[in-house]
Amino acid sequence: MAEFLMPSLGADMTSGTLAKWRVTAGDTVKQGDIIAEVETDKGIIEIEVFESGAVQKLLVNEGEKVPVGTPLAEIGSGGGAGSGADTGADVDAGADTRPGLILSAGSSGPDLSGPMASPAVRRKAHELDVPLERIRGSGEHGRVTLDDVRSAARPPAKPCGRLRISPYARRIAEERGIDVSSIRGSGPGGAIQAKDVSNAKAQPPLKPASPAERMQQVIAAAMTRANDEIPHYYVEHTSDMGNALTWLKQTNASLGVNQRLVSGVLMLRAVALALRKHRKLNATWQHGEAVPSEEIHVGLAISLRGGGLVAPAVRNTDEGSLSDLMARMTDLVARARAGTLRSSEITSATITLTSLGERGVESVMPIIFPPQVAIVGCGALVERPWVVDGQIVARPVMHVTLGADHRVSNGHQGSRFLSALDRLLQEPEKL
Amino acid sequence: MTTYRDAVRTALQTLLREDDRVFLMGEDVGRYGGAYAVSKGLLEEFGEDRIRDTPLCESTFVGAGIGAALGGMRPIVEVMTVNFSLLALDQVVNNAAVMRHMSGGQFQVPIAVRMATGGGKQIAAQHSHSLENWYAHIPGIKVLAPATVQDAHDMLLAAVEDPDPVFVFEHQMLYGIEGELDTTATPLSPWKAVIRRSGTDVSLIAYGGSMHKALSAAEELDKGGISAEVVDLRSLRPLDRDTIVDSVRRTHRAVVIDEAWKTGSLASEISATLAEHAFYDLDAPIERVCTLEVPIPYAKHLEEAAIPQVDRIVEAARRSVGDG
Repeated sequence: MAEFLMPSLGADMTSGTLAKWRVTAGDTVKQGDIIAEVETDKGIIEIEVFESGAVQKLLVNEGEKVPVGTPLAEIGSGGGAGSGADTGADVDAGADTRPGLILSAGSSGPDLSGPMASPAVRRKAHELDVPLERIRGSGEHGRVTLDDVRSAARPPAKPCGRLRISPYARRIAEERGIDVSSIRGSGPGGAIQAKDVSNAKAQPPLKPASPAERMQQVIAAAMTRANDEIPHYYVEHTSDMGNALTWLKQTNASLGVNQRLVSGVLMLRAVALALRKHRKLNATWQHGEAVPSEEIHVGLAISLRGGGLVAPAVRNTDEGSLSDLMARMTDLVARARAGTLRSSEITSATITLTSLGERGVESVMPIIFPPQVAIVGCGALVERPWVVDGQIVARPVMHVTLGADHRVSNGHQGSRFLSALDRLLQEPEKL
Repeated sequence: MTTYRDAVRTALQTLLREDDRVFLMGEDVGRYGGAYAVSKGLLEEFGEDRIRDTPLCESTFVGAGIGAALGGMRPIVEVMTVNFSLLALDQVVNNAAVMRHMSGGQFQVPIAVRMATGGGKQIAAQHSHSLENWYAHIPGIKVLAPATVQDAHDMLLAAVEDPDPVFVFEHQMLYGIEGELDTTATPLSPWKAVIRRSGTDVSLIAYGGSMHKALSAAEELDKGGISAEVVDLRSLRPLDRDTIVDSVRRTHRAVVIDEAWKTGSLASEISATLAEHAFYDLDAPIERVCTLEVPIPYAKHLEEAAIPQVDRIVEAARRSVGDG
């Protein structure tokens, strides 16, 4: 028996609303099936299941909002039709819902449904900088245990002292929505006691944010964390896009309107192929080290109407034909704007590609999207005087910038990646 | 007003008058009238068959009491102090406590054993200890610690009535206290703890001799604006967990007062019980006020320094509330 949990679909998601069930109890599902739709700050996301088997029971009703990690359904393991699930993929995909990978980007409002946890657990959580309310307790009555905290731990951003607070004071602070970190304790050794909590002013209730505001808060938190934690370096290259555009024109001439390729897809594929030989950039930062990804899932930064921004992954970007990639990219952009992205797309990107060329800017210095360790930014395709074979000619050129995590790679490796990317763009027929 | 000593004697008289199976035996209970003068005059009223002086051999007369209980009598055995009762521990642990269990319920041991406990009278290290927690450790027996005049009377009646071995610990400093005794009222269940004083800020949990010190401490704390609740345990085995835990759930702080040594004490047991059952209601670390880990000294000032006193209880309560 496996539990299908409310997944974390991004750095700051703490809860989601189950918008729609696509299955009912008794249905047989297999790994990868979309079985539910979840409404988040990013819109409606289609949720895939990582288990195969029969749906035993739906535990959450449509319209119900529940914290990340809440069981949504019970899936009977084994026996399910077509359950030839490759365990490797299972682990990779399932990892997204593990508490250890639920990333904190710092929105630390008190959670009224805060879990029960002993002082030792609270102390450990505090030491490891793990927000307790993000952890699903495995102990009695959902109590959070030391093991839960350890498995959810990420390297501490900064050393923290232990907060001395009585269990009762902690409990009533949670009940009243009071942030205890700013309270001065009057108890033994400066411990915070119940009366200190009672004297502290309750925080004003948060103004309900609009979906656009919420998304901006999420982006703000992720970018703040990226800027705080990641030592970025930047290298930039100017690529002559003449060959690529000529090849595109010739290729599109023989294709129907619906099948035509755009320069963006060439860049997407070129980034993916260049990564094959520069694995250090295709990784995620976990528990204080870079974990290279076997698969290449380039995330595509897509701006939404109303100012939002998402970067869903085009999975296995280095595989399949260009026309297939074009179709997948078009579909992804359309669904991103319609708000029907899938959970695996939201969480699995191993690098991000952002392109601001449409707006005419010539270069972009992007900030890495944690836990990724690199990001590629493209400026506009512009005609510039260019020296070819000793002659100055007008050529379409583009600034390509790599922003990378200096903990993982250095400028030399970053430059070699950009050179490889440039060589690939010169031979578009090989993409 | 009646003294605690007289209340015990009144209970003994009632029992002896109303039930032929009841008899009292122990060292000096007859001609001398008891080491604490509890049984004074009983020999004259009830005769040598029912008020029996025994040799100075606790193992023998406690064992004889167990035998008499098995044989259908309702013996009341007085042991001079808890220190001396150790000589009879084999009879208690290996016979009285296990007989019902080992006979598959065929035999009961309806014996009541009374003894003096505690310090404060300058009778030194062989007559002043509080070892009732040793008895409270043993399944198969019950342990009572009356702190008031009324309880001294009522609990002895309940102990004799009970079908199992019941040990009644009378703190030696209490024999002279005075209080109202109502022999007609329906007695409280002896197995329940009682709130002797209600309060909101801290629970002072005590029994026997320490209970009165807890009440005095509560008075003292009240002057400083701290409202202390006093819980009188009354029964040490079984412990009335609900009353203890409920009190701390209201006050969120606990000071446990116990005249035994701190290590392995009933105070330890109560602290652990609170950690288990009231953890999320605790607003301060549990405080224990116990006897210092030394044999009780003879010298008056040293004896006073060794055993819990009102000032130490007040200090602990203030630390707990956060005004210390």
